[in-house]
Amino acid sequence: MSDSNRKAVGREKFILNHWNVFKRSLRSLLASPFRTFLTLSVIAVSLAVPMTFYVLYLNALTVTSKLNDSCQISLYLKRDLTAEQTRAFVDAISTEPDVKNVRYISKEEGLIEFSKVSGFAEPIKYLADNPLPDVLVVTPSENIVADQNVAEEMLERLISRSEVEQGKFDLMWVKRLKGIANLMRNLAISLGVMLLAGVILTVANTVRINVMYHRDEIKIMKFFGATDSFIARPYIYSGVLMGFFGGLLAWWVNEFFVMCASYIINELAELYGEKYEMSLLSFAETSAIVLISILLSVIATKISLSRFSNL
Amino acid sequence: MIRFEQVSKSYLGGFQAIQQVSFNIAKGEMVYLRGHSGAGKSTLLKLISSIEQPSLGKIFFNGQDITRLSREEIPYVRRQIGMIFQDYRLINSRTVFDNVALPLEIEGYCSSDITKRTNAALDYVGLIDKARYYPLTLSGGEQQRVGIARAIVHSPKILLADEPTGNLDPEMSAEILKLFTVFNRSGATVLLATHDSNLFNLKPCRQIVLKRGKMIADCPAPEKNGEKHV
Repeated sequence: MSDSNRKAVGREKFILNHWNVFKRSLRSLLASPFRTFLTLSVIAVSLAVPMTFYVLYLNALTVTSKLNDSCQISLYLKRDLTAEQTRAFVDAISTEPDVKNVRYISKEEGLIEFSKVSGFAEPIKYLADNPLPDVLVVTPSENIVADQNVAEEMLERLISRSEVEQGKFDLMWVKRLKGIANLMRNLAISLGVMLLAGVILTVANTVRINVMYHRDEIKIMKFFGATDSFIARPYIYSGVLMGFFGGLLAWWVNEFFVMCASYIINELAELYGEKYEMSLLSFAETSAIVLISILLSVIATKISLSRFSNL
Repeated sequence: MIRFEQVSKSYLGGFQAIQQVSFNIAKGEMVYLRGHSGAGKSTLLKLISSIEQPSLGKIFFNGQDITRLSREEIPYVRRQIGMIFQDYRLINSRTVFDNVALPLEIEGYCSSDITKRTNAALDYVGLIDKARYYPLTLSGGEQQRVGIARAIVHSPKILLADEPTGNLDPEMSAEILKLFTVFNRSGATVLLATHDSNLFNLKPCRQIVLKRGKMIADCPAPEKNGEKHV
């Protein structure tokens, strides 16, 4: 219920009153910086942990979607094929409808690449014979990759060709990576729920302490006809402020976590001669986090404020 | 202004704080509520300001039945009352000015009106030069004057004072009483609970006397005498 219906208070005066209360709330937060900082830290960390898992999930998702493309079948051809036969086989496979792309790696190319990558260049020189087979790297079309069973059928079919010695398939570890990504997401969700409950409890407790601390003041205000909403207003505002700054702090903490993770991942990626750019939360996502933080704080404040009514 | 009809208040455990009290205080009257501590003076004031609700009987305030008010109605009744306490009840974290301005803030006055009225109230109690001070840096008498400024700043219809001079020496008490008298002359009703008979000697008025929760006397104001002291 608003105070304005009794007194003829214009809209501007009402806004001015709110602005004054807002300033007072901000000042009261700054008046006990240590307690405010502790509360903000708890909000920030509680929000940042699920946020970080979410970011890792998003990155895992981008990685696996890239890998879908490179989900290939390697066919090792029999060594006794003639060049003619090999060419004919490559052409035959290329024209198959389920095949997107075919790359032929002759055993000579294979050896050069292997000696480069493996670091065994010297010992390889002493080999009398090239031990490698010709390899055909087949990239299946997307509809095949999407379905595990269809993909496996295709592999079976290719292996059964007389020119093929052996064939294998990289889908399994992509699947595992997807599993890990899903785990990240589930962790983010369940940790998120727990930690958000933690945010509510922390803010509710801070507000409760605040209300208890100002108990006499609230009593005095009531003696002079303060409505419940008038008394609640500064606490609601400090709830909004705590939520806002807690959310911002959470974003920074998250950014820091992700930067650390990015550093570690890039060290790992370098070993494979790759570079990986971590994707971060978008502006909209960050705003959503801050809004959620504000919303939770206000809910917590409301819960806590039901207490002053018995003063 | 205030009418009690057979009002009783008993607390849990059966303690009878007020028993069948009836009286009528007219607009603009100044009345002492006398009695020893524990006689029920504070309870009576709490009943008027709806801090407590009576167990039996009816209470009227300015023609309105305030016996059973809803939670939403109580604040608007209290805004017509100015309350003064023995222990001042100032907000020590706020300046004298902000303390006095509180009732105006609660009623939603705009800041220019707040400044004007607060300064007027502080001027009235002679503390305009201490507006920026904090309550704890003031003497007891000064703190009580801040309490009075706060109680009258929103021009209430009635002033309720619970032992306002209880913690003060006689000289300061006289000062405080003077403020009440002046405020009463401007047309406001004043109800002053006290066990201090000095006040009565300084400014004789109607007295309602309580003893163990019962009203044992209602003496009208004596004819003009003793006014010269004030």
